Amino acid sequence: MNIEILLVAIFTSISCSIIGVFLVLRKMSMLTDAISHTALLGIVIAYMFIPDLSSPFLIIGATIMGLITVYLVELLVKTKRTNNDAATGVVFPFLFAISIILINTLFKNTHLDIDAVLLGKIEFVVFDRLILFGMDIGPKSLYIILFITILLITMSTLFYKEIKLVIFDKSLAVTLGISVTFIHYMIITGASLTAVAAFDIVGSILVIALMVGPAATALQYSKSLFRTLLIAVAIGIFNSSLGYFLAYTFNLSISGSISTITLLSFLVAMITAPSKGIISTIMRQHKQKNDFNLLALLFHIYNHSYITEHMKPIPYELLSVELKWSESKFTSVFTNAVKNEYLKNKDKNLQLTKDGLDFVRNKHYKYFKEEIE
Amino acid sequence: MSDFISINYTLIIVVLGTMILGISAGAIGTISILRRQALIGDALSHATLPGVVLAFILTGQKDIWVLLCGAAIAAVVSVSLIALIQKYTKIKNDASLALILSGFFGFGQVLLVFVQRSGNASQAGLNKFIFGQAATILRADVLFLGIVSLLIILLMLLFWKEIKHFVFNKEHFQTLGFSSILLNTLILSLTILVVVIGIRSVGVILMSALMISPGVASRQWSDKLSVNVILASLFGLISGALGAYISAIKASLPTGPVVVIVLSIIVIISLFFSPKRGIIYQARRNSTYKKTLIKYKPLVHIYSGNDLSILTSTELDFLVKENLIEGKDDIIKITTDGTQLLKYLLGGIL
Amino acid sequence: METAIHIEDLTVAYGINPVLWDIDLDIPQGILLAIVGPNGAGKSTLIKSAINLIKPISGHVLFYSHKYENIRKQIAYVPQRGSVDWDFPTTVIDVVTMGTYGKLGWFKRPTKKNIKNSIEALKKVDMEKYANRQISELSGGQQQRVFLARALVQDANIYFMDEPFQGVDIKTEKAIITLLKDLKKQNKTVVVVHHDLDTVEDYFDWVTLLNMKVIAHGPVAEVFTHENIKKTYNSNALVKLRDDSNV
Repeated sequence: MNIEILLVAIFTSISCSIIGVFLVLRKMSMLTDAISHTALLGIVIAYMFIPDLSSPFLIIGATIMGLITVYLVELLVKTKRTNNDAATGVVFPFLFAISIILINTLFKNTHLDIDAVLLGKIEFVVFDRLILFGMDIGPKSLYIILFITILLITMSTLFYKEIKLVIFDKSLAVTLGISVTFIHYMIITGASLTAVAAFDIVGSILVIALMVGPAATALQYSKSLFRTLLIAVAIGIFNSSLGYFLAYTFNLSISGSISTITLLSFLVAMITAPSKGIISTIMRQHKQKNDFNLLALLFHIYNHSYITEHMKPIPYELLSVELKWSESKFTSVFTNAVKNEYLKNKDKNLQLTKDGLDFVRNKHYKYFKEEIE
Repeated sequence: MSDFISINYTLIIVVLGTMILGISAGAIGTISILRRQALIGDALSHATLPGVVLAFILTGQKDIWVLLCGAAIAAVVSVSLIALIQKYTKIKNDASLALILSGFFGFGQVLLVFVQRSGNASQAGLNKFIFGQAATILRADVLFLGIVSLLIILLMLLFWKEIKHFVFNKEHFQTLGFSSILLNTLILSLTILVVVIGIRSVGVILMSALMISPGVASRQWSDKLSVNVILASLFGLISGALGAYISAIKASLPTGPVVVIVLSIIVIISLFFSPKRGIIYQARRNSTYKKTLIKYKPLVHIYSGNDLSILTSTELDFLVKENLIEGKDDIIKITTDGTQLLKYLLGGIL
Repeated sequence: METAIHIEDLTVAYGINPVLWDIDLDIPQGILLAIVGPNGAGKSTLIKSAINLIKPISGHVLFYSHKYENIRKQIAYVPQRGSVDWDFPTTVIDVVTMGTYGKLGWFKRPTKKNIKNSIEALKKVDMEKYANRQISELSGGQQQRVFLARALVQDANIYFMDEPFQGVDIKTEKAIITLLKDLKKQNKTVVVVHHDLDTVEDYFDWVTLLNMKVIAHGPVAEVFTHENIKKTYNSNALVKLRDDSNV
């Protein structure tokens, strides 16, 4: 295993996860797709002026192009002629197509390699070293992505409450005097910068996985924004480590392996997450159905004996007739009620116990949000 | 003319193929946009990669039918997963699309390594998948494209009434006893079909543009769904033909990007210059309205029956001079011209 | 009575469709005011343009003779419940504490005292049991009460509420109305966009009947008449006015 590649992968994941949470919550997931593609045009244009592939101006050019992309999409949406999705789908292929044509006509023989743009070159990051005072201190990409990670952590710490407010309730933010535009473009700049640095490493399509995957997975577990961020970062680290390990062991594409793991870990969370996962949802629905049946049965007795008949018990036969359930259903719900000691069965005359009464009151409030006496 | 055809036989084939693709992509894309699922084409086209590669690994054939089948299967799996995520989580639609798109593509990339290791294909194959290469379209392909497109258009015509109703109001559609699931499946199947046949010509990334841009452009010209679909098909046809033609005569230009640029120019023209809806027309109309409104506020004031004492004599003189009101024996009356102006200011409510 | 809100000459249009026409209103301090009118009458637009969420074509709004920007902290706004995403990962107490962010300023974190205030506010709307719940688990009425609690911690003098009674249960409706009366007792001014004509007389002491323009404005007992209501709910209220245009 190459520890440097692993570190690059991990820090790419961390920065993508942080910005990804904000983007997913702002419903801008597909914008990552757009930005990571159009950044290429920024690089191409910057390259026309400064033909040096390692120049930092290329990153700046790409970041600006990311901002332009978002701005153009918003402009289209503002005209009310198109919705957000369609606007994204119009703008980014256009800018991307321009960059492909420029590369194909102007830079055919240079090192602007489209494959590398789309698929990344994490395998080769170790060959591009940062030399400081004649000393080799590690791969350049590691320092770039480390810098961006620190920048994002600083940004989300300093502006945590503003970011939260702007994403959750824009109108409150406006009335409280917080500049929505500033926060919005700060997030977009962060996203753009991260996408640019990350696509150089894992490729433009897999940036999307690194940004959206951990965020979507974390949302299955968490009930606060802060925890969502922490869990997303942890999941990002896990995905990239496991992805790299598998790629190394079986000699696979590293970025491909990481994004496959990212999708898988989301699917696992979707199925197994406590309270929000599919399994617990189905179990809850099942329990709810049982609850409802039980409530219907007990509520019937409740109505009968507490309101209409002044504590008078209800005969078993009458209940079974009045509920109009199938016999098997009635028997099973009835047995369940007796087993839980919710009702007393005295010579086939039925009456609620104290537990039964509590059950009716609690569940009725829980499901109908209405209190009964 | 016949001379031209014989010389440019391949060119004709290529242009024809891309043209046909443009028609069906434009038509089904318009429906996707109206269903607010514009980017589904983007997600699906990326998600087909593992299907294509797996089909190749399993059969060892580069036959187009085999690869397309693989692509279609992967697309079906990804659509089902998206539906599952929608049903069971609170993840928003765009996030689930992004997740499936990138996850599947990454998996395809992993599988590609196996292909490369067996020395069977190079990255060039993937490159074609991503950008498309219309120049390699053969006569048999055009036939195939034609048949599939015809099938798509026929199905759309056959279910036109239902599709229209379904897109417009899903709930009401269901109450009439139609199956929403069936129609949803139909529309998605048509989408998958277009995506799968389109990838080969214009490639993965730009497939989405071929589905979205014609719909967005056509929307600027009409409110009628049928007109929208026909116009979108026409735009798809024009850009497909033009794009393929340009890219075929200049070999350095890949088809997909050229088609997309032609399309984007159509979108830009439509957005800015279409009458009644175009950005320029609307901006001018709105600013004229605003200016007129501010200029003639005193008239509105009189009309609304508000307290007249706050109006200055300059304002009243101005209105009289413009022949909007007339004063007779201390009674102010709005003239016909004034009523006309008010009608405009009130947005036609009067 | 001191004038809390002064609206003058306010005209708003979306594109070339006018929404509000030449609105002149003076709203005195310490009243509960309902803004009533049919759908599309511009009720929400009126309060949104008062607090600069929408830019009017002409006219201006003053609060105690100050522009909104200079007196922002004394004004709280409760948006429609549907305007936010309730799946957002946050808790009830956190949403309520957001009301303090304006006074905190940039970079500062909410203090223990802020949290305590938030809990107090939650108690007032009978939601303190739910403080640590995730907001997606709340019913519609509970969501509305959380929004109200959030407005309370803003500790404002003027409250704008957009349809707070929309789709809530009886318990919430009662809780909201108790709260409104409480605010009035503290001499605060409350402006509520309201839908239900039947409850106007019970809940509010002033009413503005609005349909693109102000049809009537004043104490409920004086202006909430059958004739005025009819005038307001006539879809072409402005056309009706033509008879009056000959002065």
